[in-house]
Amino acid sequence: MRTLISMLLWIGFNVSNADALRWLDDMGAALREQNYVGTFTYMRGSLIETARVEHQFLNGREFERLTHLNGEPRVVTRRDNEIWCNNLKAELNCSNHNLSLAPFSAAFNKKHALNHEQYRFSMHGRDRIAGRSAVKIKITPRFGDRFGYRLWLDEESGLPLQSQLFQRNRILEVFQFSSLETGKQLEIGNLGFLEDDISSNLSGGEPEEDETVGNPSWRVSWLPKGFKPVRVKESDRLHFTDGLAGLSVFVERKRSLLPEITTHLGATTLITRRLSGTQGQITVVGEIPIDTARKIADSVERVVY
Amino acid sequence: MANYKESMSAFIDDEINEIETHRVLRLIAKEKNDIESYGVGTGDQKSLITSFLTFMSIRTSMSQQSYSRRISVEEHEALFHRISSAIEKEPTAHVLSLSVSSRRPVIGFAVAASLLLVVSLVALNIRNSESVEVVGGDNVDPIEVGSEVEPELRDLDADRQKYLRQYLNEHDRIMRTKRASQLVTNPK
Repeated sequence: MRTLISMLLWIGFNVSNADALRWLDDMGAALREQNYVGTFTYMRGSLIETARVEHQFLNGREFERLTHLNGEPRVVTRRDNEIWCNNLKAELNCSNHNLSLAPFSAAFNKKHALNHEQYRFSMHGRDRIAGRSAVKIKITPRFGDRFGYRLWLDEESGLPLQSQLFQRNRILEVFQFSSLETGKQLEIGNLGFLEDDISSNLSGGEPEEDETVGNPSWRVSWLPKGFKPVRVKESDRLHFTDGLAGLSVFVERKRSLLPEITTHLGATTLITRRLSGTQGQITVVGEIPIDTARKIADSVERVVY
Repeated sequence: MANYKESMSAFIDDEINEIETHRVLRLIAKEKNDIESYGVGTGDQKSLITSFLTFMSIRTSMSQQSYSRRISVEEHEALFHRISSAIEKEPTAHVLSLSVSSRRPVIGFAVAASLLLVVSLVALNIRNSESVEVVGGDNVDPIEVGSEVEPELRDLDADRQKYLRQYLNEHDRIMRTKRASQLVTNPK
């Protein structure tokens, strides 16, 4: 009898896990390939942002415009991996840490996240968000070295309608659509993607084709399991992702302006530490717990070729 | 000492691992033992209990909901001593017959147990009855809409804020633009 119950539980768990992964797979495709217009709210720490998003997938390319509706009028436009931010009032580039009001996770990497042994994926019934029917998914870290996520995915399109990023039972960030329309064809010109407009009014994007990759001058001797390095051109920067969370390590060899800081902005932890034996500094930024960031900062060491 | 204080701060913030938790509790228990045996604490550990109570009070103040009563440092201390005394006064015949040196491990255990009880009571007080707590949603840090400066960075001057924002923006940009590709398969 006990064996039968265990088997049924095991089967139930695996079915739930497989369903959740299938939904996440659909979400990965929907985030890129769906056409949608909506308004969402994003709460990070003590800050709330509301923005209108217009997303168009055309000829295999993504075009997106994000218009901030609170505070300084800012518009973030994106074409695939190129991002531009413009402050409409001051005619300046955006300076604040809010370039990527990405639904769910800015670092979401479908292929990497779905083959993950560090998280458990489970289905939690249905709900209603922004007037649309949604399925609930929970992504729970197996250990306390990273955060978890609760997701509400649109049953029709697979897009994330709401997400919560949590540590144990504390919610650190919340994202939620208040309105969403899908399947509507948008005029690319109306999103600000005329070539002349891009070159004359906007700045900040770096075409990836021009990037050359150098050998890193630094490395970390400890990382939470499942984090993989991301290719970048600067030798004094290291970036990693586990498919859901991202973390960056910045090394300054010159005398630093900053004191030693440990803080967090919503789920983004920021730690600065003196570079051992020098006046330089290590800064760790990422969607990871403070304890994890501390261990990473302590493990930074110079690479000798 | 700075490390112990950092560990204790992390302990109060729920950011500490199990091994460090035991280390902090052992150190506090040892300090209390030293005070009881010799009348004073030894070396740098003298202020550990004070630090613990201060951190606890700060944490309570920062996380306090409007409808729950605040606990001051004095109240934490009184609670700590009351629980310690109550445990020590438990009538245990074999403990009373032992010498002072052989009683120490028992007292240490009692202090560690009382501390765990204090921590649990305070944690219950902080978290009240809700199963989910939204960080940033309390009375200490009001939610701000559309602000240009994150409250966490406001204590820094403009140059330092700019410096940190460059890192935050670069982190965001890299994570967003490299999410679909660009993973290095063979790290050096």
